[in-house]
Amino acid sequence: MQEVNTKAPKDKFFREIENVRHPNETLIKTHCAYCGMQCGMNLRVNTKTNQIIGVEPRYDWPVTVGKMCPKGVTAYQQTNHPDRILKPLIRDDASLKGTDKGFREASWEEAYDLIARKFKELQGKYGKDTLSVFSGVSMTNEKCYLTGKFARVALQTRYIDYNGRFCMSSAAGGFLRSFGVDRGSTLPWTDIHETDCLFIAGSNTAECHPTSMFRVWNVQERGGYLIVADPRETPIARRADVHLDLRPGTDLALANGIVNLLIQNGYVDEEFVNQHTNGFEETKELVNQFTPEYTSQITGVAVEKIIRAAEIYGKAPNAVVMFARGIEQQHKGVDNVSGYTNMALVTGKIGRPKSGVATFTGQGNGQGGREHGQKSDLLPGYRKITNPKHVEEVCQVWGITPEEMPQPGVSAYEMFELMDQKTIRGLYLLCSNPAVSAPNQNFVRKALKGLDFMVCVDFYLSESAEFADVILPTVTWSEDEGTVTNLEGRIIKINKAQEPLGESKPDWQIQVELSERLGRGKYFSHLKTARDVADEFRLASKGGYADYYGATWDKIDKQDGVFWPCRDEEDPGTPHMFLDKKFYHPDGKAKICALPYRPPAEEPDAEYPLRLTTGRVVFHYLSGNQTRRIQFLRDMCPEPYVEVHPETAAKYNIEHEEYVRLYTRRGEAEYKVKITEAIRKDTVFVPYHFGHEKSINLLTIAALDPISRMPEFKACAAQIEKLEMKKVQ
Amino acid sequence: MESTIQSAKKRDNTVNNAFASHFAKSMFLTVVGLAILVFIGTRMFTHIDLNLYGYMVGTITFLGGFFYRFISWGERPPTKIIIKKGLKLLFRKSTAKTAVSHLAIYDFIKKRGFYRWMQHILIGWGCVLACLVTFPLVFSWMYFNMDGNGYYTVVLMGVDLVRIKADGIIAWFSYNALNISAIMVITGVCMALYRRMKNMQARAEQKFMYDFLPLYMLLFISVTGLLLTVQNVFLHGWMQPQMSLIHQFSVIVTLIYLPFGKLAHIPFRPMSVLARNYREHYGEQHMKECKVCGDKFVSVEQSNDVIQVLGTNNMEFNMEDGFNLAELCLPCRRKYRIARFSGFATHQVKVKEANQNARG
Amino acid sequence: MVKKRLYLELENCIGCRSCLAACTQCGGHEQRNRNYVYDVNPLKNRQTMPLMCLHCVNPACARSCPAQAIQIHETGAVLSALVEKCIGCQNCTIACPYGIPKFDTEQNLMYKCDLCIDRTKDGIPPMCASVCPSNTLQWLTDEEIEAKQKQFNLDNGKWVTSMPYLEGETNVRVNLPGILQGVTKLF
Repeated sequence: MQEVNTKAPKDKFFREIENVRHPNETLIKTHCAYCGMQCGMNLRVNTKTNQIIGVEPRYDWPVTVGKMCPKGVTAYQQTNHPDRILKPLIRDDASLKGTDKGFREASWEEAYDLIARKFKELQGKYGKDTLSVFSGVSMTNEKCYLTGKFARVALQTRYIDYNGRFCMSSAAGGFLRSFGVDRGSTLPWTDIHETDCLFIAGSNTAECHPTSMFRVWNVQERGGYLIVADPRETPIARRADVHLDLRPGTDLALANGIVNLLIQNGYVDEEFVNQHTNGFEETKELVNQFTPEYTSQITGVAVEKIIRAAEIYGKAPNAVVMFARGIEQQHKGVDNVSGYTNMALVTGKIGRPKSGVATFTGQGNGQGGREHGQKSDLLPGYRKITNPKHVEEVCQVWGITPEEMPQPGVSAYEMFELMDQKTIRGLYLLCSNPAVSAPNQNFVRKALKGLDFMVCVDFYLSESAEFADVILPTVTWSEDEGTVTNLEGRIIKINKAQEPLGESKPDWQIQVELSERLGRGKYFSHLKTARDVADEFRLASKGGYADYYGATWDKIDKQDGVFWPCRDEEDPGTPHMFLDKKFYHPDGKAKICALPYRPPAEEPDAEYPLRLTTGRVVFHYLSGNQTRRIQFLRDMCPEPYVEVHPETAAKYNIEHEEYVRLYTRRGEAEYKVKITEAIRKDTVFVPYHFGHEKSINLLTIAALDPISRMPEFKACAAQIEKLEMKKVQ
Repeated sequence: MESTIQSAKKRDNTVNNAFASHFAKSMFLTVVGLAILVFIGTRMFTHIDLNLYGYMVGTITFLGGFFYRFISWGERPPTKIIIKKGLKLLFRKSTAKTAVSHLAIYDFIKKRGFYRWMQHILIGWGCVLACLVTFPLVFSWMYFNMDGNGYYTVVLMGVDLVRIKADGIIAWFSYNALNISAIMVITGVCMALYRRMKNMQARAEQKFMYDFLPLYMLLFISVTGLLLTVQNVFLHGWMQPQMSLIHQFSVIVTLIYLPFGKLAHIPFRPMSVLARNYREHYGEQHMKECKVCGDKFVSVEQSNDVIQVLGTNNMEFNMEDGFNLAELCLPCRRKYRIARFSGFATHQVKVKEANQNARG
Repeated sequence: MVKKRLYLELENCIGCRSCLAACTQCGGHEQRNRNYVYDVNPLKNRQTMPLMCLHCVNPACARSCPAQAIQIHETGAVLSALVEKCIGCQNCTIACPYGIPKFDTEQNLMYKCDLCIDRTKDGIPPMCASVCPSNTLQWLTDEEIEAKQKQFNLDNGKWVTSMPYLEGETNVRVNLPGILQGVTKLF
């Protein structure tokens, strides 16, 4: 660990290519605004107008070598988009909440004054904890860190949580339980194409993380195997050697079934299991009942496919288990993660190059954003707010006493329940759009509407902003700088390409200025630049599990990113986790978890015979607040649709491209039908990027995972109705 | 290379037999025509301005080049079809409208961008104005007679047209017409040069000889022309004869070069009117139905013409499925290609193609 | 500068339309894409394929153009119509055996893939091949293409550079779906 290797080794996909340089233009190296791949890109900036005018591939970024999905190619169009909010907006007439009407432009002074007055008023009447902060992780580590501090030090409330609860929290919970540490990937992405078997569960990789695909396909081109577990025959599943087309919500049974076969057929790495893991015996006993037949019965996957998948994974010299929201967005998401992780632990295919476990991080900074104190129970550096020593360490950086540190709060969805119960009366919302992305929308929207006072910080007027009293204009990713942690656990640098448009300000600056208005300036006023925040943040993470202290901006630049943990200036970072077979539980061992199977919270019945599952399309990102405004993406996917199997469609007498009513116990919506054999007969699928009456989350269930508090977006019971029939009635 | 098939048919035309070639005939007729016009315009060669004879030689040379280029171009099978059929349709009602739109106000260029449209209007109409003044003077179709009382008589084609006051407004415009046109051309050319230097795609594709030289030549003509006025007005004619020679020389070179470089698109542009007529006329006659989906997508005439033209190049896209590829509408043709790649009959699936034309 | 070609590995396509988006971003493309992505059978599965101009060695579009507006670049790229020459007859759209050229009625102008000539003339990959996340579109030397041919070891006629799956010799190389049949498994 003494020698600092300057750059990550270039793999075979890397090519030395000079970029096209247009006159009067400069290229700003940065990364995409969207998902966890954080593809490298160059923003083209006109040197006369200092405005972003286009994109140029970044061939020298080792992870993605210039590749971009259609969202990435058009991402730059967000910055100077006509929909940008350029001045603070205030709405005086609260009866217009839930619409985009009644907003007037105001000065920052007036907006800050109003917010400070209202916040003080509410806290005076109902106590400190009446305010809440709902955040997101599509922003830099520095902003995520400061948001946690803002909530706990400036607002002094316990109620802070973030949209990772709808995204990554199950993976975090599963990894913490299995490994004692939560880094999304135990190995760098440049290893993936060199493995011999990819086992990918619940990930529509080709649409959600497209720039991983050239590595995935390369595994097959080399003669390796691709196994995909997904209810839908997604583009990646279409080409898989084995496609495990399971019923939505039955992943844990499949994982147990495969672990059972691995044990039965002698693929267990005895030495590794004995020396480096706990819990093997209990697990062996538990999975024993998951025979291929029993597993097949629960999952609906053919017996021979399960056997074949287990055989391939067992035989493979190196293998990587990967998963995503498909398994995580369930009310047993954490168990699913630990369940699939068991495959790697019993066979010892972890803690060495080309083998390991990884989750496809959904949001741009889904990894970094969850590590530094936006979660209701976490503090910077992955410290626990319930651990007095951790609290002590953070208090020293923040300059408060441990007594001043608020208690842990509640998870994202539970905050809406508290709003409904009037425990929470004020909300500071940033970097998120829960009026599209949260489950059980009818309830969530009612809760937002019932708030006494709500501030929304965004650069577009999102569906959630329609519930706000004050909207503060923030900047897009390209108008500020900072670090982001991509899905590998690699800390990378986002660079500023343009000055903030209009009067918009970066989130950290808004929080500093607002803190001053709230009389807490002494804890924030020293933060004058993004770099100031970065320095304090690195210090705050020092000594935690997710230690960023050594990840200076210079080092990130020199090494093409730094993998955490990176404890000091000399430490080059940790691309591969557990190479020394040391895990992060106190005894240094990983945990093989015995996990009894539970069915989804809501199973189909006579009234609601179909399973509804939701997900993404390649053209949109999260709630679609950004991507639905980009013309190319809108042209390509203007509205949601429901995927139905032709046999199911015949049963309901519905045709391709006809509109139908889809409904569950919680809500209903009308969708265009897309008939395809690429979905199970008992399942329908709707993408979730759309708002208002088109939001599929009007229908989804808020059954939460007991550990991660993740709602079950991926499975609930639903029914279809032909529209003409409704008219006849 | 396409001309071999055409040569056999021409034997029977007796008038044509008098000439060695198309080119010779066109050249002969045009020069004779010009001579007759000059004869009339100059009142039987009595009013020739011999200072301008250089332009005359230049014009004749230009005509030679123009006919040579146009004829060799028109011999290509696809060109021939459009010219032949288009000329027959010249008297359609819409011709005037199309001609004004394509040749006078350049509507289609406006749709490509206002900047480029402006530069075309300035250069195009600047040149037209200059030609309208210069050539009648060169061939003495028009000249001015001073009658001594501060009045000029304008003589057009040998006929006294009008008497104008020497210091009147009409006279002022007449003297300054070339100056105005020069300023228009200079502005337009500068706009074009600026675009060429800024626009990346233009930079990628442009070549000095093809794209820049014509612009510099136009610029040179206009500047030297303007300098003549400057010398006249401010320098009392100092060095004017020399400058006049330089100017004349530049015009002649440009005229000779014109049919061979980028500016050739000016005399060839009327073809777009013929093409429009061709499409409109046969489109009204009978439309081709796509062999797969039945959509009407092009006139039967054009479909057949294209198939025939490709035939002369030994290209025949007859498929085993019983159609020529030119008989499929574009989406079906693309889907058919996917079918050939995939082995599955994509073109037979009755689902509209996904959006292929998103704006960036 | 080593000559490189556009190479299509049709099996790899994931239907993301990145190539379409990237096409609009090329310097000279005026925000309009010139390529296509098709569902093979949208009612059945998610298989898709890109359809690009294949840059024929003897291009039908250019042969059918009455105005000689379609030029062939020294690199072999069949360029988009020269704006000053195109007379809007649309012969090229009828002639192209693959249905590639697009026509703008308003501008009375045909436009098509020019292989991002502002990039490829300097050996920089075209936008579509630069961004393609699945390596369906690649920018390779002839040696690299040959290596692929050997790697996939296909004697089943699925390896295609021209006939009988295309209508003539093309500068772009295409490999039909089915490569995985020719791959020898590691274990």
